[in-house]
Amino acid sequence: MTREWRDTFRERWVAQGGHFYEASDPKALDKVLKTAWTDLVGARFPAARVVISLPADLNMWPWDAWLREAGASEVVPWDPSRDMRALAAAAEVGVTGALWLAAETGTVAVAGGPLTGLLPTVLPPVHLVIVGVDALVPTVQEGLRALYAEDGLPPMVKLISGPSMTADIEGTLVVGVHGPGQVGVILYGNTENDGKKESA
Amino acid sequence: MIGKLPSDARPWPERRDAGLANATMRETLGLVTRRFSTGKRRVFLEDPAQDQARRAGVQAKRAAIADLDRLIAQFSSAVEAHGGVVRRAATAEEAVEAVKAIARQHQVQVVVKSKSMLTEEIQLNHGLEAAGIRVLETDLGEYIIQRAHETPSHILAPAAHKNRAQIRSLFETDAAEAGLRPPPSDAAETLTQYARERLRREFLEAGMGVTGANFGVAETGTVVLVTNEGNADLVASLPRVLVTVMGIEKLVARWEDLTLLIQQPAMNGIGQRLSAYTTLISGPAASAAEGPAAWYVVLVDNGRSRLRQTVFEDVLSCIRCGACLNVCPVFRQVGGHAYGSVYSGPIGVVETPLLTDFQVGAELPSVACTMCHACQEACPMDIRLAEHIVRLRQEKVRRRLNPPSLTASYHWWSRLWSTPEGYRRSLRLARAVQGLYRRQGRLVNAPGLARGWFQTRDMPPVAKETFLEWWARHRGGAS
Ligand code: SF4
Repeated sequence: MTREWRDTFRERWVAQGGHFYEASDPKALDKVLKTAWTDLVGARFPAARVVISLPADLNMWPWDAWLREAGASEVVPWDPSRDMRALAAAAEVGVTGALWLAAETGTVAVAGGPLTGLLPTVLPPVHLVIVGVDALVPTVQEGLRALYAEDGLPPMVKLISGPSMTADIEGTLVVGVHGPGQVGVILYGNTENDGKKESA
Repeated sequence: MIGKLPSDARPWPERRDAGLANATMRETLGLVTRRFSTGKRRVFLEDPAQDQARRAGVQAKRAAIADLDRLIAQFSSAVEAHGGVVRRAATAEEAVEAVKAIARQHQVQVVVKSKSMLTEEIQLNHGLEAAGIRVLETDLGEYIIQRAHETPSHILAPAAHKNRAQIRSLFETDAAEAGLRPPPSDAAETLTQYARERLRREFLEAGMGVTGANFGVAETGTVVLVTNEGNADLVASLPRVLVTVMGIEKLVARWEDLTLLIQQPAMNGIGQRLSAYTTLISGPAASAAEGPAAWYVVLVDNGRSRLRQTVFEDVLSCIRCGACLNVCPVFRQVGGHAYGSVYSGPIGVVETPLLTDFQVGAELPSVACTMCHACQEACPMDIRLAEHIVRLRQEKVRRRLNPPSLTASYHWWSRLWSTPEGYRRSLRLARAVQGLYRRQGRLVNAPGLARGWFQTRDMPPVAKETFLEWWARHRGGAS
């Protein structure tokens, strides 16, 4: 199932204007990150500053070093005791994790908490999501149900289904109004295991 | 309690003609309404299961309206359990006063807003500005019309009546006032980029954010906001104070109900599976780094309760998706301003007179509908819009809200045409005089009371010989 969900997610997310990258072997994450950086940030924002807020289970990887190697001039970790509003507003790239990815709608769900922030998802012009294959769910309905079961909703949950966009001027579609114009998902982990189990 | 809605003092013919004369608006509305309707068809064809969710969602909305008092109490205690504050407002004035009091309490000078029909309905900006508070709309379309001191022409495309050159010149004035660089061209991207930079500063400095709400969940005390631009996210996460202004009819009972409904506004209104940004707020911020330290929800009635337990109750299920506007042949020609109400299109025709007990928009059911029923077919919440329009016409006759000359002419017309002989007599009469009123083969005018009917219509002339006359001549006598 995971593989089908990945395929649907990729198809819809990309159709809605998002970028999709995959590191089926997490060892390749640094390389995939570099590719994503070249596409989304690249020449558009040379010496970009990054504000990063990842869940604890992603901290096993050296993101700071990887991002600098990809081209970041500065990597600011989420720290609620600092003025994150100003720091996130000054950054060109926001990096976060995700609660889940819904295949049917091509949606990334993110939540804020005492230690993680949502400003990196909306203030910088580029938003990059790093998330494992376990996070895939078939629909928004399922994702929302899971959220509720975990009792006590986070104060703010966001469902992101593409870049920020508008058609308010003569009906012309423009991306990157108030939120990011570039959104990318890096999915890591193997979707094949699951598929094999099914066919066995 | 009767609701209060702002109204445009110009009479209908003037508003209608202004709409018809605005080429930019008609072009843009034609483009976006067609794009929205095509998209809607596509997403429902691709996901047939979504229609089941929609139907279950309709049931959930109906059940919520029937149980509204309990849901309001449940929602309020859930919000307060998470540290939010709920205020109730029976009227538009009370709602504005409540928001003003919150702003005063927190010594707010600048407010940033995301798009909300309800705040247009209660004229919140006006109230706040009168109290010396600066208000900035942050939805791009709303920002444009705020600069132009105008009102929205479509719920989902508020600035559809403005062209790029007009927008550029508005932004040039705006840039001069704000000490910013004006947009270097009139390309849609450039103008959008200007608005992004212009509003970014305000977002970071504003003391209070104001949003509307698409849904409220009683069980969890959650408010749901849907946008494509991401501005509601910024409104809800940058200022230290957040005020959500929500109509009581937005409540649903359970989280599960929300899961059925959450895609419906985007699927039906703009043909997307979900809007780019859906934000679910269930309490003030978890940390000082982002989000509001104080969260208020103002629950507004303003005439809504009057509709409960009446034949019009289903109107309260409206999710403001705009699908009925997108398919309405009248709306697509005249645009939103012609309706003279914040709510335009078929739902505006029904809701404006209902909320205000015919104080505003009493003319709408008679003039702004061709009885084609497209809206009723398009409405995802199965609101019987066209049937309601007929009911409102009947109610107008009952209450004698039409000009006496109009009532009299329809009375005589129906008398005349309710017998075959009366009908034939009227044809003979028309044939005798129609030569005076023909232009290019069409009838374009008539004497007396019938003149009004022809102001916006024409019709084919009566034939030299009707079929019945021909029949009587050839076969009538036979066998
Ligand atoms: S009346 Fe129906 S179609 Fe019209 S905006 Fe409301 S829910 Fe949508």
